[in-house]
Amino acid sequence: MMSFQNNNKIKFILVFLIFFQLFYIANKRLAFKTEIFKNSFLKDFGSEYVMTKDILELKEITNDLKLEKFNISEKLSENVFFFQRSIEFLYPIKIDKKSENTFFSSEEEIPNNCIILNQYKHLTLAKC
Amino acid sequence: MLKTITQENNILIILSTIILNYILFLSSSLLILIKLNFILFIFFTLYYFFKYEKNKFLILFLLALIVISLGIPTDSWDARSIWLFKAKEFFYDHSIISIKNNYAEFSHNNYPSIAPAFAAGLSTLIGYWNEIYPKAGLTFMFIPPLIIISRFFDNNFFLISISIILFIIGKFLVNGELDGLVALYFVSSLIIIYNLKNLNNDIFYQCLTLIFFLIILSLLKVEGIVLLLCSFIGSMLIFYKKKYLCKNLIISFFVSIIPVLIWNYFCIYNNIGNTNSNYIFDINDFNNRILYLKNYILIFEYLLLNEKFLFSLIVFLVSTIYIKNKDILIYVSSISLIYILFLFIVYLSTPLDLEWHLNSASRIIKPIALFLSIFSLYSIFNKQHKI
Repeated sequence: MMSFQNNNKIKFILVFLIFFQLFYIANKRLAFKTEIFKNSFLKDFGSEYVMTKDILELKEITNDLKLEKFNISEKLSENVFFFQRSIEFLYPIKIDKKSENTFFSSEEEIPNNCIILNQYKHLTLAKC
Repeated sequence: MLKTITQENNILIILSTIILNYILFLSSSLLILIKLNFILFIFFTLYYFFKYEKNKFLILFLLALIVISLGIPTDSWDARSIWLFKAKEFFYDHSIISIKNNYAEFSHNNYPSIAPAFAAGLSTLIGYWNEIYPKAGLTFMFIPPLIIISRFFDNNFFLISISIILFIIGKFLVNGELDGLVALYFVSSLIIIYNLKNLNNDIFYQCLTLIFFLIILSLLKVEGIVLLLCSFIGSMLIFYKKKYLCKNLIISFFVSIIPVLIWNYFCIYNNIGNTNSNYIFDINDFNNRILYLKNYILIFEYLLLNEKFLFSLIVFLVSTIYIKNKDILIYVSSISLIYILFLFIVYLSTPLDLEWHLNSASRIIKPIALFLSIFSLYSIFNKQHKI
């Protein structure tokens, strides 16, 4: 048993096994990319790997217009992915049901009580 | 002054910076102290590795984890919507108290949040947010439990333990989810407890280390509190004849549980949590499921036929047959059975669709799978060293 604990051949096999496991986790279970690692400390980096284009556009618009709060349409709220990811990604800009600035999907019909402020590639901003 | 810091003190300082970071986030006006505290965490971790840690594989392993964590997108739901979202809130609001607003209920605002606070501490030090590096703050939290594992296993045994950790915890070491942290803090606490019987002096430092580990465990996730209680009951079963140890353990457990009780009181008092009635546990769901065998079969299938749990169970049974360590057998089986019983009760009571909720089973059982495997290895290691 003593030889097992300090046996160099076993040590070599175990180190190789651990290296293989790390490689498997990084590349097969998770999508490791050297470009992500290289840029991992850049400000605001990383959203393009996990966010859809409409959410990226939403962030860009709210930043440009310096909105602190905004609202989204019923249809967009029902899209759980869009709703939750936009809350996470846009924070500290918050979703507020009372906000007049309401975003609709570009495919949605805008209600009559709303005035269209601007149309973007994926979204429409209206005052409701 | 640094020369007076012993190895035990150094570990205590590293652990205390993690807890202190959480305390400092209670106020929104302590940003400088949060930064200073995080610098102290980095300094004393480096100092520990420079002065005390002779195990180069541990350092290489930690570096590999940090590199992987910094090279992957943060895309799993729990990581994004719960843990790193909380970290982002704490970073921008400079405080955990802002959670009182109960904004974004889906992120379970009432969950304990020591780990997101630590990731927010790293972001506060860096000074800006992005979607990648804050989760490395969670990976940094693996340092104390891995130091404990390294202290109790030498050479090839340490490498086997790392391989086991990679097999059972896998991607949860780096992806921003907390199940890996829960499993490792739980197992490290149990190793510390089990070794109290071998100590004649120095029990004060070991109990203090244990208290810090248990505080962090209970503030990581909800199941951390349950694991703490299971550890307490299991420890009492093997130490009940040693009054001195029992007294110290009872004090340690009661001190450890105070912070999480305060957190839960704070949440109840401020009505923080998910107010969606679909997520509230109800005794009627339990009553409706308890008499049907198919529910037990389903839970058994998801929870206990999990390949990592089965592997660990087989390894544990084989090691028990050959090593015949009665203490470890009682210790491991009592804690595991209590936790599994608790999981059965939780799943039988779920307000959600049972099969859907059981998707979390493979993550929830990880602490016990790791516990079985590491203690199997530990009993082999102990036999060799005749402890």
